[in-house]
Amino acid sequence: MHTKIQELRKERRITQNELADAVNVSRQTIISLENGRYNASLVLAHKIAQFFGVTIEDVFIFDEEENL
Amino acid sequence: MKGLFCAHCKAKNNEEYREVLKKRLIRVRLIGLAGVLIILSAAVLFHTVLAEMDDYHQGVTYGMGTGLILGSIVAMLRIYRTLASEEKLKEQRLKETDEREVEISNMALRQTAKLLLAVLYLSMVFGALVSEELLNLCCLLIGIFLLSYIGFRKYYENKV
Repeated sequence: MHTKIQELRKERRITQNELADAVNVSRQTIISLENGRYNASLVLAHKIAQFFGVTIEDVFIFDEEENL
Repeated sequence: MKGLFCAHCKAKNNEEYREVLKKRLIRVRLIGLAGVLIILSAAVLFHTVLAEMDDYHQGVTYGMGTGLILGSIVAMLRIYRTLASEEKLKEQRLKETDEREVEISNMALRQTAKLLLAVLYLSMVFGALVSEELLNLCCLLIGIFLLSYIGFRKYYENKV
């Protein structure tokens, strides 16, 4: 799974710390999400999408085999 | 030992986490008290009923009590220090509530459990050549491990 977190964050000029604070996780978690090393839970994915004002699918790009 | 003994709490902000720490402080004090009771009861028993107990076993018992007291003092100091600073409170809260941290702890625990089981099996196989007591002890520990796994699985199957 890939994410567009970094793109969305840079578009809106938001730092990793600010995003981490807003969704109640550590900065390291944001870094891992951006690098694709960690897959967010549904709740965290929802919070991040809500923070950017977009849908979950706009932030998280699922790989071919992860789709139906 | 980061995360090993943490009760991953669900505090959403510093205020909720402060309450969690206050409750934890009570448990830590009780652990310290248990240490004091172990030392006091050991002192009484080793001077009366168990007067013939050798120095090694006395030392182990006193060591257990001292360990609990020192551990609880260190834990209390850490909690007081965390409670005194909003920044530390936030940092500590994130360490316990951050889902990636929780996942890391769970993964580490799973691997540790597998390693422990493998070591117990090996100790049982090679221990059987040396001592029957070691064989029985390893069998018992493996049994406890597997039974508790089955028990907790059943418990969480009904909860989740």
